[in-house]
Amino acid sequence: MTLQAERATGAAGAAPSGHERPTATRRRFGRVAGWLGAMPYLLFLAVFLIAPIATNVWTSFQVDGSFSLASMARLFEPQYRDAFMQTIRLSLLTAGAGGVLGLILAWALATSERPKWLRNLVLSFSAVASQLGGVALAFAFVAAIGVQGLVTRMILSLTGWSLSDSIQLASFWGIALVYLYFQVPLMAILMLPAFGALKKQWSEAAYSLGASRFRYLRDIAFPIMWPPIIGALLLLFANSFSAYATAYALAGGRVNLVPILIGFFISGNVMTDDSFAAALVTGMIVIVVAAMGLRTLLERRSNKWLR
Amino acid sequence: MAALDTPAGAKPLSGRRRPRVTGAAQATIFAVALILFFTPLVASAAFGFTLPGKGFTLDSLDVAVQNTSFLPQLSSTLQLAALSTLASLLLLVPTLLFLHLRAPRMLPLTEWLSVVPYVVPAIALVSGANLFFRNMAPGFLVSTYSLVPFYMVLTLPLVYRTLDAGIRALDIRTLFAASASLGATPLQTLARIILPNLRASMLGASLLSCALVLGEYALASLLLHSTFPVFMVQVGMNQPRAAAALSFLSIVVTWLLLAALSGASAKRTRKSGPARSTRQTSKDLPTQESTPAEQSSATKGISR
Amino acid sequence: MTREAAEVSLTGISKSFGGRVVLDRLDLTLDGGELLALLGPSGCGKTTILRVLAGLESPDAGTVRIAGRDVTHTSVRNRGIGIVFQAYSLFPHMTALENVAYGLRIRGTSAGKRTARATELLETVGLGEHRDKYPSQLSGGQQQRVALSRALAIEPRVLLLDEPLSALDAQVRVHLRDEIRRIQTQAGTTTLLVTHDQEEALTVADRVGVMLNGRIEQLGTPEDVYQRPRTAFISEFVGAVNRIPADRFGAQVLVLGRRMAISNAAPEALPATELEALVRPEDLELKGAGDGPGVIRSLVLRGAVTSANVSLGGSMLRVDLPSHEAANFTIAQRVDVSPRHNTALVDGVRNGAEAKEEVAA
Repeated sequence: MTLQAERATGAAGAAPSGHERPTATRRRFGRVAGWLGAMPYLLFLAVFLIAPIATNVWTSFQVDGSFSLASMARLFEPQYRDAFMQTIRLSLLTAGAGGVLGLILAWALATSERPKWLRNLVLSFSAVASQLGGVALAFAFVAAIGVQGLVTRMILSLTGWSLSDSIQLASFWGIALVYLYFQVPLMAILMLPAFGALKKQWSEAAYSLGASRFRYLRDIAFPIMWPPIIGALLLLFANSFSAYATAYALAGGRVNLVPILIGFFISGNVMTDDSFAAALVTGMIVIVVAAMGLRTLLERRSNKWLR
Repeated sequence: MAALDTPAGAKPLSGRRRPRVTGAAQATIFAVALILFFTPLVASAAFGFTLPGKGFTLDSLDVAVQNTSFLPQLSSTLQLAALSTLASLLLLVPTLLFLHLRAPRMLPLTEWLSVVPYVVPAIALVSGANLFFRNMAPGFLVSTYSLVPFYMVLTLPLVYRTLDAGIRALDIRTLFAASASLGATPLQTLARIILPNLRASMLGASLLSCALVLGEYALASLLLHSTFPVFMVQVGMNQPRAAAALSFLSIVVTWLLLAALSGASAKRTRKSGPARSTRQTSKDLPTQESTPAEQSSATKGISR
Repeated sequence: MTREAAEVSLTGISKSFGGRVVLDRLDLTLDGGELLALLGPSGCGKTTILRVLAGLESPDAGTVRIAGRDVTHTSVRNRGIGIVFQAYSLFPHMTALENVAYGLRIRGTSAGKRTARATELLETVGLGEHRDKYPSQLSGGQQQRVALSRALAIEPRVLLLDEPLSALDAQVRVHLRDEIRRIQTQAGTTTLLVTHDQEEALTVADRVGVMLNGRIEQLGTPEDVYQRPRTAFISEFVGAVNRIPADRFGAQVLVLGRRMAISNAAPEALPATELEALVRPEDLELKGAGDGPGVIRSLVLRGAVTSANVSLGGSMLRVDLPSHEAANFTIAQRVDVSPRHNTALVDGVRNGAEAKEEVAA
């Protein structure tokens, strides 16, 4: 590390002049120096990110030392297909519901003016809540709406209705509910810049041209907003699809989700071969990459508009 | 003055009654949001710090703290957070400074690589790490400290972005040139000009990194290391009240770290106003300030 | 674009934001087909007038009439106005053509007709071949041309230009300014231009209204406002001006040894002493004189005109003269400076604060 710091500083003095008039040799030197300078970073990622993922993908196509699609094909066995379907359903549900609610929250955050402190309070709590998750959030929800939870007991004593009987935390719906705790604020935080980029002049120009509020929303606001909306929904989807800790702490093995299944395989609770566990992971990566890739495409498009 | 010409509060065209309706709707949304945000927190505090018929008590927490594995697991988590953060800074600050100065053409590649962890779920990284290191370096994953590089990878998108934004805001080429014209050696420029100006973004990156590592569960538990979140799950098996108390405390700590972050970045924004505006005119790059709000604009919480 | 030119009148318009009065019982009338420019520093209320006229802001009191009809409570979309904003008002997801055709689309004009009309309009502003580009692919000047075409496409009765050129480069600004004037004259649309650029206001407008603190200080032809400013503020805001110490004798002042009539609206309100005459640089004359009281300190070439900075009696005067005449002078030369005209606007000595008080009162 220190070696590299020295290289950076040593190079610094010559930088401005070298940049202005790059001769062929200088340019070649610059390219070599660039690779050298980035080397620690690239090596680090190669060893701790690329190699593990590559190994995983490689392993999922290897059975008994030779190339095979057998492991990947097993993903379609009912039990595993069900896990994927269940996870996709959970992700669609929390992305959809979280998306709608988050959009409403984002709208309120983007347009509210008057009590500034209230807006700022909600904004900062949204920012933090969108980052929460994991074990702590799971236990907090157990304390709130679990069998002995505070809210559960309150509702029980007030109405006699048992919340925890209707919504069990250790179930698909329970997990979905807890995911919404971070999905909604995440959506709001993601959409806030897009709302901010909707310029006031657009609505005023549209109205001056004779548009009604409805036509403005239909012709101008919605077409401009949909790429960022879909993009944010895709991120929410991926977010929910790859979440492990929250679901595990809530439900353990009681819900058939891909991340939990993988967790069991890795920790050896379930006996299986490496190749199939790797195949599950590969399947998961494919889905997440697809969602995030699509999001990047949409983002590129809306960046062109919303500047 | 300009505000007078286009008053911020004006809701053009919304007729006479709409503003009041809108205001009420917004207030309602905010109220509901705050209640829902706070419910689990209040509940975990109430559940964790009271006992039936006893009122406020630290008994549940006490039981957990008396647990022999509490201190070692807490301390190993704190160590991991500090080490990962430090290592990230040591890797990224020199690399980014060097690339910005000497090889800006490399930046798109390094930036692209920095977001790859977004699309790799933590659980996928565990699986890959297991397979790869079991074959290549069987002893590596035994030590708890082996988590450090993986935590660096998981926090990379946020840390990279925060540092990169800080460096971009500085226009370090010009700073080096200006400083050199005044007779400073590159080392002096680095020590007296560049690093002091990067303090805010380094602090921001550190807070983010710490906040995320402190709550990380998937890697630690699946690679069979004992960290604080793992401890919480163990406690939660048979002491739900203690787990609630610990959860409350750890959420509050996360909260404080992220709040400190947004405070720090607000201060930085105020200070470096002019620098930011030049950057915005000269570059079309999305400007990322490290408020938690914007940070998370591409984030998936690592602790899930 | 053959619609009868509509007269526009605002009477007794008041507007305040959060307790701060921005417009105070303001009256303004635009004759049919004229281009009226409102000129003033930021915060003077000129944009608020435009927005009230547009219907984007509703006045606390007063009446807005377009072609005789009271439209004070008519919504923007029914007022028949076209607006060109400062910048970034084009719909980013529509091509230039779609932007221009949007108003017609709302009116239900058939696709063929509106395309033809929009194309025609884009050709008038010289963007025929850019019709299928998106706003992000157009330069700032091109975007404003499209915005102008879009506003004109609906054949508005009134055209409102809200600092349409202020975000553009100097050269583009001059070019587009002339073009706006040409197109406006051609269309004969009653037009209100809001600007803080005095040159822009003077060159394009039929009449100019100079605003300060929510009031129109002076309304008149560009010549009027420039040559016969009614107040010191106007004189200084519209063009450059020298403040020259002056002594008062009844209704006259002695400036640089010459008696000049006081052109102030209320000369009797002026103090007896401590006065300054406001004289434009081109209204001063230079004569080489070996024993003259002034000394040329510098000569600044501004193109056709050269500014000579002359130190005289402890102050510095700027004298503008044709550059070919300036060639006769040299730095450090002694000169005589004298006014060219017989009237002058007079103001109390150096007074930033006082002037503001007077205006605010």
